[in-house]
Amino acid sequence: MSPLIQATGLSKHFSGLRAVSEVSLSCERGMIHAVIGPNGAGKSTLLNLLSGETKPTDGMVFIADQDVTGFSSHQMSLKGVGRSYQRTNIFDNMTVLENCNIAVQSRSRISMRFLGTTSNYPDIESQSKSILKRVGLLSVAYQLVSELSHGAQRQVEIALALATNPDVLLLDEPLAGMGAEESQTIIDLLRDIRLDYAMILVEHDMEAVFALADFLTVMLNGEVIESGLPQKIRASKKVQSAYLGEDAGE
Amino acid sequence: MGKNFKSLVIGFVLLSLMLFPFFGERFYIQFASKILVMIIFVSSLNLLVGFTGLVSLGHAAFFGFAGYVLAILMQVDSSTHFVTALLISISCVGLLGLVFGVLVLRTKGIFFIMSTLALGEMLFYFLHDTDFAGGSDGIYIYSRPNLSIFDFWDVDLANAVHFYYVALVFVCLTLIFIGRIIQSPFGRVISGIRVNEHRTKALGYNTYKFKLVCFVIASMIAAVSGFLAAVQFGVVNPEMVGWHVSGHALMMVILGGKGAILGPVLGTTTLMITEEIFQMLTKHWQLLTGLVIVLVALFFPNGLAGIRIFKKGGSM
Amino acid sequence: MDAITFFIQAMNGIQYGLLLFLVATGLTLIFGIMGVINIAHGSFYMVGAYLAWSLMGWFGNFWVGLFAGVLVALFLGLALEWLFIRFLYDRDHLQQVLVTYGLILIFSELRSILWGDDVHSVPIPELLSGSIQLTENLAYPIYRLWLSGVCIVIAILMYVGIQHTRLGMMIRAGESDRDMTKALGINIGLVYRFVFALGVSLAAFSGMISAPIASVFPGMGNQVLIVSFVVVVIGGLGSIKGAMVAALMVGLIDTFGKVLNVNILGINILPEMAGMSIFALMAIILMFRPQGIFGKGH
Repeated sequence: MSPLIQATGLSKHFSGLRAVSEVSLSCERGMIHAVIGPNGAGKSTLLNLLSGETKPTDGMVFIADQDVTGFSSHQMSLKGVGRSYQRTNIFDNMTVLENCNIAVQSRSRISMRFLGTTSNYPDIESQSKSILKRVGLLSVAYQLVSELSHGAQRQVEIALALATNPDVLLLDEPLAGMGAEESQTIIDLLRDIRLDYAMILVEHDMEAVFALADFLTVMLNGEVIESGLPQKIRASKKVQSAYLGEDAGE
Repeated sequence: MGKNFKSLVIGFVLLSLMLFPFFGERFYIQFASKILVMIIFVSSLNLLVGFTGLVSLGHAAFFGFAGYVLAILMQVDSSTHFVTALLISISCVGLLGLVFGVLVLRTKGIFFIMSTLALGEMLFYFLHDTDFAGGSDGIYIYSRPNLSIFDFWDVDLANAVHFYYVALVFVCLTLIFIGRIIQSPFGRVISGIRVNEHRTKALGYNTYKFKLVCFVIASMIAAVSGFLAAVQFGVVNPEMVGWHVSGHALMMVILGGKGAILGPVLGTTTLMITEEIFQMLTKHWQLLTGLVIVLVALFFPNGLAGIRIFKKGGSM
Repeated sequence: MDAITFFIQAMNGIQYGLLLFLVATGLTLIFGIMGVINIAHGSFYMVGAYLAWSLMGWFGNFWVGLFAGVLVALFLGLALEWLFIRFLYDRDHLQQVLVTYGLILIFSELRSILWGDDVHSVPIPELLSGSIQLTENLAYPIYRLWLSGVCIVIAILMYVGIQHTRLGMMIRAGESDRDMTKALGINIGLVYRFVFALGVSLAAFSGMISAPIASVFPGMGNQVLIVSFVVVVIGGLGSIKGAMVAALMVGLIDTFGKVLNVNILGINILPEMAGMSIFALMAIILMFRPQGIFGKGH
C-alpha cells in the first residue's frame, strides 16, 4: 500500500538559514508518525511545508501519489490534510459550535450562497455537534472559545482539524501547555481515532510520544538525524546526545 | 434589551420615517433623503470593514462611478427607465469592483489601505482629466430617469417627497439584504475571514475568492447609493469619488459601531447632523469635524454602540 | 523630442522622483518602525510649503526661513506624537487611519485660517537663481540641481544613519522587538517620538524646498500623499533601496507621461491620461508582484 502522505527531500531556506533541509518522510492510514527534536529543529516549519502554508525551496510532497508540491493551504485542506497549531489558532469571540460550523461547512458546496440563512442547512450544525461529542466538547458548545480553559481551547483546535474530515492529520504539539488530566483526554482521543487517519505528530511530551507513535523521526537543526521504530530511537546514541545537547544549552 | 422591545423601537422609527414628509419642511426632507442615501453607502462599506475586516479607503470610487454611469446614460437616452438605468449602473460598478478587487485583494493590511486609496484616486484623475466625463465640473443630469410603476403610478424623482420614499425603500432593502448575507453560509465564511483569515484558509476556503465576491457585492451596494445621490442632486462631479467621501464613510462606520447591521444608520445620522450643526456655527467647520473624528477614533473605537454597552456595565 | 529636451525632462523626472523619495521614506520610516500608518503625511508636506512661504517672506531670506521652518516642523512632530500618535501604537490600522484622517481635516482648516486658501509662489534664492545654458534657447535651472543634490545627500545620510549609528541601531532594534528593546533599557517612547518628528520634518522639508519650483496651494498635500502611497506600494516596505527605485520610476513616468504624445487608434491618450500613468504602473506591480519590487512579502 502506498503512503497517504509522502515528502521527499523537503527543504526550506529563509534568507540563508536552513530551517528544514532535505527531509523525507511518509505516513499511512492507521499510523502515527511522530516528529521529535529540540526547539528550533524545524518541526513546525516541516508541518507548514506539508500543509501548504510555506512553499518549499526544494523537494516534493505527495498526497496519495498525487504531486501536491506548491499547493496553497486551502488546496491542501481540500486534498484531505487537516492540521492543528502549536499556538492556539481558532476563531475568538465565537462559540465552540460556531468555530466548528465554519470548519464543517468547508466540505459543503453551500459556502458561496449569500441569501438563505444558515438555519436552512441544519446538516452543518448536526455534523459539528457529532464532532464536538467525539472530542468531548458538546457540553460547552454554546460557550465562547475565549472563555474556555487553555486545555479546552486546545481541544477546539483539534476539533477544527477533525471537522474538515481529513485523511491526513498534522498535529503540532497538541498537548502543549496542558495539565496531566487534559493531556490524558487528548491521548485517549488520538488513540481512539488513530485507525482512521494518517497522523503526523509533533510533540515534546516524550511519554505521550512513545505511548502513541508507531514510527519516529528525530530532527536537529533542520535535518533528520535518526528515524525508525520507537525501540530504535530509544536506544539511539545520536538522539540522546541531541537532547543532552539541548539540556546543556539551557 | 429584549427582542420584542428592539422590534418595537425599529417599528416606531420606521413609522416616524414614513410619516416624516407630512410634517417636515422641504429642507429637512431633502436633508433626510441625503442621510438615507448615505446610509446605503456606509452600510456597503460596513460589509467590508465591519464584517469582513477589509479597511478600504477607495470605496467612494464605486459611489461616484455609479453616478457617472447614470449621467452618461441620461445623456444618451433621457427616457431610460429607472430600473434599467439602475441595473446598468450596478453592473458597470460591479465590473469595476471586480477589476479593483482582483488587484487590491492581493495585498493585506496597510498595503490594502494604500492601494485602495490609490486606485480610487486613479478614477478621480480619470474623471477629472478627460473630456467625456465633463472634467472638474462633472456632468449635469437634466432629466431624471422615469419611474412609472405599472403605468399607473408615476413617481417624480425630482420631487423631494417622492425621492424621500424611494430612498427609504432602498435603505430598507439594503439593510435586509446585508442582514441576509451576514446570516448566510457565505456570511459565516466572511466572519471567519474577519476573525482569523489564516485559519479560514487552512480549513480549505479560498479566502481570496470569498473576499473578492464580498468586495464586488459591497461595490454594487455602493452603486445603489451613488446612483440615488446622482438622481437627487442632478449632478455628478469628480469630488464624488474623492477619498474624503471614503474617509467620512469610514468614520460613520466606526461611529455607529462596526459590524452591526444598524450601526451605519446610527453613525451616518449622527455625523451628518453634527456636521450640519458645525456648518451653521463656522465657516471652518471641518476643524470641528476633524477633532470629533480624532477623539472618537482615540477614545470610542467601538462607536456609539460601544458606549451603550459600557453604560450597561457589560464588558466589551 | 530631441536629445536636449529628453535630457531636461529626464532631469526633471529624477528631481521629482528624489523629492517623492523624501516624502515616501518619512512615511515608511513611521510605518516600518512604529507600525503606524500615517495618512496625514501629505498635510505635513503642505504645511512645510506654507511655512516656507510665510517664514521666507518674513525673514526675507530663504536659508533662515528654511532653518526656522524645519525647527517648527520638528516641534510640530514632537507635539503631535505626544498628543495623538503615541496612543496609536497598539491599535489597529482602522483607528490609525481615522485619527490621521481627522488630522488632515484639522490641518486643512488651520491652514485656511492661518494662511487663507490662495495659491502662492516662493521666489528662488538668489544664490541658486541662475541656470545652466544647454543650447541657445534651452537652460536648466541651478535650483533644481541643488534640490536633487540635497535629496541625494539626505538619502545617503539616512542610509548610513540607519545602518551604522547608535540611534539607527536603536531604531532597528525597536523595529524587531519592542519589548526586548525595553528590557535593554532603551527609552523606546523617546525613540518613537524622535522618529515621528523626523518623519514630519522630512515631509515638511520636502514641501519647503519644492515651494520655489511649484506653487503653494491647498490641495498639494493630498496629491503628494497619494503619489507617495503609490511609491510605497511599488517599492515594497522596509527597504530604502526599494523606495528610491520606485520613487525614481514614478517621477520619470509621471514627467514623461505629461510631455509624450502617444497615439492609439488615432486618439491622443497622453497627456490627458498622464495623471493615470503611475497608477497603471502600480496596478501592474499589484498584479505580478503584490509585495512590491523589493518587498519581502507581507
